[in-house]
Order: sequence, then structure tokens, then C-alpha cells
Amino acid sequence: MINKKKYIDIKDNTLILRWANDRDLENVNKLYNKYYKKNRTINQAKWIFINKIIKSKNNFLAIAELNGEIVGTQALIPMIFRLGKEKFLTAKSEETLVIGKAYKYNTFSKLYEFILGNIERYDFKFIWGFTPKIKSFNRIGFSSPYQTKSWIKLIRSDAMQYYLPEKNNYLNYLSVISKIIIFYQLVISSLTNLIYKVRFPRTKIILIKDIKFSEELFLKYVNNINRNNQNIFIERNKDFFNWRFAENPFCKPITIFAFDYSKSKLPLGYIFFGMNEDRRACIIDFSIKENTNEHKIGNALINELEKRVFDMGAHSIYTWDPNINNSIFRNCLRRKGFIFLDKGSDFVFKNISNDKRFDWENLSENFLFTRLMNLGSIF
Amino acid sequence: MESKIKIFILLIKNLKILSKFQFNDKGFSIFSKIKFIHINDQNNISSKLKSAILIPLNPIKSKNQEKNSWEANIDGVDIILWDKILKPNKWYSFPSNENPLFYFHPKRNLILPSWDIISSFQLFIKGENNKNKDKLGRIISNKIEYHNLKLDKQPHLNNANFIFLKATLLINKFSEPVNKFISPIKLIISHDIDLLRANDFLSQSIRIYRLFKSLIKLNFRDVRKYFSGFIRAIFFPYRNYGNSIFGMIDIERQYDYKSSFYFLFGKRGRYGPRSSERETLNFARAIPEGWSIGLHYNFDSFKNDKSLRNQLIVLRRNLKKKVLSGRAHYFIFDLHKDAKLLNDCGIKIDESLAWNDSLGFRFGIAGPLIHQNQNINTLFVPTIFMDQLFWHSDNQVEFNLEYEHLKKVGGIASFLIHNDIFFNEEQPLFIGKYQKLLRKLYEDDLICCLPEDIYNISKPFLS
Repeated sequence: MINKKKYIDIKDNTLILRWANDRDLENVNKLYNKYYKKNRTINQAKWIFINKIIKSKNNFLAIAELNGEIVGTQALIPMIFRLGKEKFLTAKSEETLVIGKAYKYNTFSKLYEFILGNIERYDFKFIWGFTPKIKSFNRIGFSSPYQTKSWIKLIRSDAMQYYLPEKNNYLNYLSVISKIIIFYQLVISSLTNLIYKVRFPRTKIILIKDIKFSEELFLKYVNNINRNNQNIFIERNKDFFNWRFAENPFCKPITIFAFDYSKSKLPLGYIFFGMNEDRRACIIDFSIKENTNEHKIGNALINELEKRVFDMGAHSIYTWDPNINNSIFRNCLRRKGFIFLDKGSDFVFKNISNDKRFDWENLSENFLFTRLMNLGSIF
Repeated sequence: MESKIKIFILLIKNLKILSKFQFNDKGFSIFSKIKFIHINDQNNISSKLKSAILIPLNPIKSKNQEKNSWEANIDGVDIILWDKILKPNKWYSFPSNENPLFYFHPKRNLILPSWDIISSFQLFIKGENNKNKDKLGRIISNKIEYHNLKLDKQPHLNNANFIFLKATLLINKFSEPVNKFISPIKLIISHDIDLLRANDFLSQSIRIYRLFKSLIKLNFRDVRKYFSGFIRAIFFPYRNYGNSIFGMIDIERQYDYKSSFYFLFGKRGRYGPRSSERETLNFARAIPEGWSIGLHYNFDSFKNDKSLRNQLIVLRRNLKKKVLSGRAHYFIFDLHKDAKLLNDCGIKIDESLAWNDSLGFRFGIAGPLIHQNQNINTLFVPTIFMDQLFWHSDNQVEFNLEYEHLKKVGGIASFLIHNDIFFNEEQPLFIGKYQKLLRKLYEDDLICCLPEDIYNISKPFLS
């Protein structure tokens, strides 16, 4: 493993590529905050780069230094994926950042060249991530086969002001538009509720409970619900939830489960959600056990979610489309009046194994997208 | 003299308990080894005394020093002190002669505070005469001299502990800065549940009154606000009121925080609760496990012995839970007159001590305060940051200064957020602020405690 790579140009400027150590983290974070005008704390940065998903001394954060100054960063976050019963290691591309004066050194591609040359022994099958800079990724062999799609439901009249600039809000027209949309969504949602009430009169079949991720049963229930799930997705195991939920220094999701009313220990589905500082609620993960009354359970979970986030003060609910055909989740969202938007983040992908099974073409159909794949400020 | 010794004992007891919340394990271990000894004045120090902090009961001062304050810096923390005492001969000042924090004798390892700490402590805990009170019997902050002199902008006792720890480190030749021994702030969040529904007669009457007032003033924005508020209250009475309890709980869940809910019970009336007992109990029963329930003592609680007892009986009997903490409605509470009744009723933590009209550390402490009467075991944790005050745009700078100072010296920060303020379209200024507040506190690593936790940690010190 090469720990350092040096490039010198004709003006004797030295570009050094190396793995970041603990001492670099503060400068990496400063660069990130300056570049993106954010206020990420050092604890939050540490959480992103240091996890226990795989046992390694390295934190897979590469930096480019130009005459001693950090001018570029690129990180990989190891993530275990599951395909049927098979588990394999993948890496999420994070912290892609190159500042202007380092462009001419082709820093981004050199950073990835350095990373790829150093991670062979870890047997990552593919690298994936979300980025607005797809051209740069395309140039170094990544494909950009997909763009996430979204579902939105407005629940308060100030919602549109979040999605559209308020400065042109003459006569408060955004509020009027919000109210019209809310009315439309309310009609659809009420119709769905009415249909379920007619189909299941006076029978309470679903019980909703909060189960915290620190509780022992949490993982058992999640595994039980996802047991027959054939989607390709992050392995939802103890290490992942510990890192992603319990130790999250940004904020933690609210986790509710649906149970069979008569057998209160039989989990039927779950929904994880939260609300960000801008009062936008977000569904982070959603799953329903197969061969159950899926639409009814989905409806109950989304009803509870709506009630809870409304009381929290949310103006809208947002989530990604799961990308799975005939997805129950998608149907539930539609029936609850969520609006589909063909707009989201660009997804980039690169198979770095020699195994063709991990080509995007072979994965795309069952590749599940949820906000659980997102890091940083999670909602 | 005897009364000064009593004050000395009370002061030291308070400092010791406070140190448990203020310092980390290492800091607490160093602090707990400190010997505090009272002396009469700084010119009569026995030659036998060694390795101790000396507290003069009748210190010698220059004339008219009581109200003169000065500022000094230790390891990046600015500390405000007042009521300077004279430096004994052949002693040294730290950090400077002009603005000293303490005097010390390096050979005998003796430390002497540079200010009259006994008088300063008395300043905060002494009773007040009725001239300084409003019609509800609460002390008006701007009629109090120490508030006007801004001596309550920093928690005096927390500062004193910080200075004494620094002095001890210096004398014992520790090279580390004092902030290495400070623990993250302990956080207490509580919610006064004054109103559960928006459509009671009084609330609706107020809306109609304001609606007409804004019509006369042709303020159509307010007309819309009060009209829609009136209609909304009819169809959704719990929205923005009772239901906000669960909204706040869910926001707290996102940061792993817990809080206390103080429910208002007892006789209904202008200053009493506007919701029925049954309704209040239904909401109290729905509070999930892990969150604490306490009593928001009704307006008339301290007028006779029975009222408070009855409110507690209703709550305890119906919830089948221990109710150990509370806060007085409108902060109507007199530490000297009403504390005994609280103690007799089994209230272990009270959060009634606060300015109702201003920010500031009213009792000079950000942590638990012990009562002067040794028979009273109730601990008083002053409410420091109340929603309407610290979220008000005029108080932003002051809030930041006080909060940032507390972060540096350590202690307990208690926040009060009302359920009808948390998210209320009729008070749009506060919308979304609770989430932002908790995010900030979470990023600052504040450790959330319930009143019961504070009591259990303090209990060994009380005996």
C-alpha cells in the first residue's frame, strides 16, 4: 500500500496525495465548512469518516496537498450491502472537494487514482454516491445511471416558501398555492382512509409503537420485517444502526413500528423519519413485511407519520422514490396524496470488481433507494 | 458572627454540590480535596494554616467598594467580580494586582478570594421587601440593584468554583488549563403546560377583542391572524396547544433528550388552569415512559396549605407515579416563605426561581441551590432561560453571552419552553426555534438530565 504520492510541476509546485490522519481532520473540516458555507463540527466530521463497519486502521479519507495546503479531499465510506442472502462490501463516495487552484493538476482524478490503487485488498465490489458533479465522475470511469426521484406532501401553508424563493412571493401567492395543493392531497388521502374504513369496518388490526434503536428488539423486528426482502440495499445490521442512528451527531430518526393488534409482538412494518431545522420532515426508511395486508399497514404507518410530524411543526414531508417497480411504498405514498417529482440527486456508480454481477445493468432493477443512504445532516 | 458562619457553611455546601455538576471526574476529585476555612479577616491569618482556601467573614476592604465591579480573565474566560477586599501583606495577586481573582501565599499554599464572597452570596439569597414586587407578588428585576448593575449576568457561584479550582491547580503546579476539568453543561428542559386547548371562553374572548382592535386600526394582517385563530380553535382545539406536547417529545427524541412536563391543576379561574382536571390527566397519562411529570403549582398554591397538597394528591393518585418536581405558575414563589410547604409536600426539585421579566442568573447560580433552613431538603434549580425571554430578538446577544459563559465555567442550564409557544401560528416568531435550539445544544454536547437525576446526584451531599 502506497501511503503517499508526489507530483511536481515545472514551477516546483508540489502536489502530494496521501491518506489523512487524525491531525488532518480539523483542516479537512475547515476546508469543507469554508467551501460549502456550513458549520459542521469536528465531532460530526469524525462520525462520517470513522466508523466500525470494517476493521481498518485507515479511514479512507484521501487529501491532496499543494505546497502544504489541503486543496482537495475525497473519502470512501465502507458500507456492507445485501443481495438476497449474500453480503458484500461497497464504498460510498463522500467529501468530494477540490478548490479552484488545484483544478489544473487534475487533482480529483489523481485522488481517485490514489484511492483505487490503495484499496484493492478490501475487496470493495462497487463505489456509489450522490453528486452534482457527474461530469468529473464520468471522466474517471463512473457511470451516472440514475437520478433519485422524490415524493412530496405539503402539510402547512408555508411549505412552498421552502421550495421556492420567497422574495417573489407577491400577495402571498405561495401560501395560496400551498393551500390548493394541501386541499388536493387531503382529498386523496381522505378517500384512501375512507376506502380502508369501508373495507375493514370497526376492526382495529394495526397497533403502532415507538421502538427505539437502543432497544434490543429493534434489530430483531427490522430483520424480521426485511427477512424475505430481495432488494439490493445496505445491510441493516447492528453496527450500521449503531453508527448511523445511535451515534449520529447530527440528529437521530424517530422509529415507529406497526404490529398485529391481536399479536402485539408480531412486527408488520416500520417507518423511520425525522424533521430537519428547516421544518421539512423526511421519511428515511420504510419497509413492510411481505404477504401481509401491506397497503393497510402502509396507510396506518403514513397516517401516524403525518400526525407526528404535523405536531412537530413540519411544513412538508419528503422522501425518495424507492426505484423498485410495484413497490408497496410507492403505492402507499400515491394513495396518501404525495406528489411525485422527477427531480433529485445524481447517482454515480462504478463496479471495481471483476464480477459482472455487480454491473449496474444487473443491479438496477432491484437497487433500492432510501434516505438511509444519505450521510451528514440526514434529513 | 454566628449568622455569618451559617452563611459560610451554606455557601460551601452549595459550592460542593455545584462542583459535581460543573467539573469532570478529575476536576471534581481535585475540588473535593480543597479545604475551605473561615477566618475573621485577612490580616489575622493563623501561622498554622496551610493548604486551604480561606474565606474571610469580615474582610477588610477599601471604602465604597461594594458596587465596583472588575473583570479578569482566566484561561480565556472573562469573570466579573465586585466588592474587592484588600490584599494581605506579602501575598501575591492572580492574575494581576489591578484586577485580581484571588490572592495566594505560595509557601503556605493558601488562597484568599479577592472579593467578599460572603456578602456577594448574601446579596442573591436575601429576602425582598414588597416595594420591589408587582401585583402578582413577583420581584421586578429592574428594581433590584444587583440586576441593574448587571451582577447577575454571570452565575456568581459557578464563577467562584471556577476560580477556586484554578487557584488549586496553580498552587499544586498543574500545568493544564482549568477548562480541561470542566464538564459539559447539564441540561434540564421543562415545559409548563398552562393551556391544553385553544377554544376555552377566555382565549376566544381575547381573540375577539384583539380582532376588533386590529379592525379599528385597519391592521388586516392581524385581522386575518385572529380570525383564522378563532376559527381554527373551534375546529382543532388541541392543535398548537395540547398536541404540541407530543411534537416537543418527538423533537427531543431526535436528540436523545428527555424533559419534564409541569401540569397546571386546581381551581380554575383567571390565573388558574383553563382546562378541566380530567382533560389534563388524560394528557399527563399519554406522556411516554422516560419523560418526567411534575406539578405547575397553581396561582393560589401558597395561599393556604391545602391547595398545593390537593393538587399533588390528584396528580399522584391518578398517575400512580412519584411527582417530585415542579414550578410555580407565573413564577409566584417566595423562597423564604413558601419553601417549607414544598418540602412538606415531597417536592424534591423546584424550578420556580427566576426573573419573570428578564434574563440573568437571579440567584447567582446555574445549578442546585440549597435552602438556608437545614430542615428543607428541596433543591432549587433556577430556571435560567425562558422561551419568551431568550428567543426574543432583543435578548439574543445577552442570551448568547450568558450561554457561552456557562459553557466555559460549567453548571446546569435549565430551559423552559411552553407548549403554547413551541409552535403557535399566533406567535410566529417562535416557530421552528425549538428544533434549532436543541440542535445547538446537542452539537455543544450538553448532557440532558431530569430533575430526579439532579436530586439523586445531589442527595449524598445533602446529608
